[in-house]
Amino acid sequence: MEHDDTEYTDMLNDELRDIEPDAGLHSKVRDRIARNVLRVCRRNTALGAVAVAIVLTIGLSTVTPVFGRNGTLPQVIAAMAAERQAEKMSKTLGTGPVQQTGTALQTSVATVQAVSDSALSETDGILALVISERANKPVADVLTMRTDGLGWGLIMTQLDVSGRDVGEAMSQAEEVAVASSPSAASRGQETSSKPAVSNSDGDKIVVSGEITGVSTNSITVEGKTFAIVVETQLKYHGKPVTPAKITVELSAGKLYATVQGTKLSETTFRANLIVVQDMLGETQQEQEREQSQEHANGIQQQIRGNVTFVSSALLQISGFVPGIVLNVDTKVEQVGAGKSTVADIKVGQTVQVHVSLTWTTYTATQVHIEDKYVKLDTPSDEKIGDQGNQPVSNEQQARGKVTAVTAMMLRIDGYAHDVVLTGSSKVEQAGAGKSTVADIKVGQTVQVHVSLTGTMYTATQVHIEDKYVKPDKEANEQPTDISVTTWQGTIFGVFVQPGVNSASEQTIGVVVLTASGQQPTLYWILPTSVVQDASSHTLTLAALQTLQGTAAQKVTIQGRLLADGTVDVVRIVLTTDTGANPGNGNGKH
Amino acid sequence: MDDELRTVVTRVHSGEEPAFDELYHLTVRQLYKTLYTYLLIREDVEDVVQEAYLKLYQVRRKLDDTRSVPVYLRTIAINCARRKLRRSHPITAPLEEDDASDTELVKGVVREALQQISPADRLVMGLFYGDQASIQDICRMTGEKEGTVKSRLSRARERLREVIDHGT
Repeated sequence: MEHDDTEYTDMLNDELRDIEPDAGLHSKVRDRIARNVLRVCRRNTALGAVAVAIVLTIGLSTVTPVFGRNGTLPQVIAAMAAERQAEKMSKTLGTGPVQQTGTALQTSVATVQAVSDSALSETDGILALVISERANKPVADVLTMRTDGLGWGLIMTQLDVSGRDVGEAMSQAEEVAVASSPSAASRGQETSSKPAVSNSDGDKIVVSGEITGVSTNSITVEGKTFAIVVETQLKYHGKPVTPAKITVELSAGKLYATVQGTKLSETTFRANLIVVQDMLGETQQEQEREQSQEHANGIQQQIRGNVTFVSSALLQISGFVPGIVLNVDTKVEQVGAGKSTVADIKVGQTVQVHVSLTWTTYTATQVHIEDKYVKLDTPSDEKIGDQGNQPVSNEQQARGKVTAVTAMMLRIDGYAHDVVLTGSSKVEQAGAGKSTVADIKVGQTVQVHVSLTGTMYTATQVHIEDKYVKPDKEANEQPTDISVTTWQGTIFGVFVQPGVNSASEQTIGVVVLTASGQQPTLYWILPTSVVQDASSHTLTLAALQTLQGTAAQKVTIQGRLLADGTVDVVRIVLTTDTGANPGNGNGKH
Repeated sequence: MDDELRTVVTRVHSGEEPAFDELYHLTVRQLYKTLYTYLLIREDVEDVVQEAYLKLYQVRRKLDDTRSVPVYLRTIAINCARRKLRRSHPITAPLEEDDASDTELVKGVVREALQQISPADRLVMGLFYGDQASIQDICRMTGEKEGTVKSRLSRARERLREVIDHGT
């Protein structure tokens, strides 16, 4: 059978002749189209409603303060733009932007001080100055509005200041401020000065800035004079330093300091901690600028690291240059202990710190101690009193490995000071409880509570973290052969010497045995040793002693050979055999 | 037919709703046969036809090239049918005819032969011999190259011949 294309066409058409769409298919197509049209219509209606709602909301927000105290939508947008400009300015200027902005705007020192002393962030401070200047209103009015919770957009509207006004003022201020900034000055004349920042929290005060005067009992930083008292800690390059040394250094060039002190009255301050720094280098400036940028992005920060220094008022963490102020509002918690106190923070611990940045002062709002809580015996209140009523800030804690220890002194790796050990120093060890100074060994990790009196660091408590390991007597014995061996020989002498230690344990006597042609050997008679006559009757040591010097009195000894060649006696039996034959043990005797 | 189709497409394009029904009636019969060659199951063919005309309806106001409408409709339908085939079980069309009539015996053989050809080859055969579509149009509708289309056509023809001649 031959096939051609026509034949295939016919064949296929014949096959498909009866294949016709049903009459109802058209209705099905129409139904499907109608359903689809309805669905699309509903979807469009819903989308339209959403769109209308959005438009209405936006429209409403332009005339109604739907954002509460932040005002209307345009006001919120204006505020965001203004804050962005202020942040940009803050980043550009680095440290002390408020002061520089104030200078650039030719505002009074009192105005700048008012902004500095307020609780506002740097960004807000800049905005307050700029809006005040443009509105020709006292900055206090602006600060009041802001602290009342009004958004910047609403404040600008009420003071009739537009976003463009703020932008222009910001640009002018930035140009002037950058031109007169410390970094610019340092590049040109190397006469940069770090702007002073003063921040007070209750009776605590922290001041950073240039040291303008120092004596043995006071230091002046940016106009504020702090009394240096015996409790004052003075640090330079991370080490204790005397005011005299600072005076010498100051004569060679400018120095800067961060002083953490206590306000005794409105005009008198006592320094608790003074950290002296050299002139800021470019790297440090960069670092501070980065930190400023970080803080500009958000006042709250989180820092994690190891505690390198801690007092009741200040915390320093590795990898984070500025000191962190601790105050009564600082919440402390520790793994395994929950809510804790500042006193639980110890040098060497790993901590996460929530930091609030106000100007250049970092204040810890929360400290989370990651090291698990280890229970310590805390000194009693009486004990603290005995230590001379030292202020809390002079109680320190140090942690590290013991690098040297004597009965009087303890040296810890990473702690700059030698710590004096006294009879009052409490010592305890993990797994042993109460211990003594003798238990402190080089290489152990210890936590030490240190009391600072003058320049003397005294340990009030030492906690040895290394777990106590009970000495293993058997290990000290190091017997060459712990099996029982038998010796025979002639008694050379018997000595009753209670308390004499063999290599293993306390003895009650010594038998010196000689074998023919051999050196005398010591046999330690122990409380457990069996001493018998030839009839297997027990002999006392005294009876045995009467035999010393007895010619040819032979004995058979079973015992354990020790590493030093002596023997712990298990059993000693008098024998009638007077022959000087050696024992059958190792054949040594 | 072409003139009538052109007129109808023009009316559909201008938004005349009844014209779409006329377009349906003008095109559905041949489309149905083509799809049947491909799918071999009436229910599946009906589903695909509905889907294809729905899609055509959604773009009805954009139909301007009247000559390409049949090709476009088949392209839509083939794509729908391919999705249908991917989702459905292997085709096992029932062999219904057991009558003694010679014609119907031949039809039974042809249907059996179609079942033994792959769907893709069957589709090309249906378009070429059933729709009398050109190789170029088949390429446009299936998205395959000319060589592939010709190979499929040749293979389908050969298989059909084998089954009819030898019954295997």
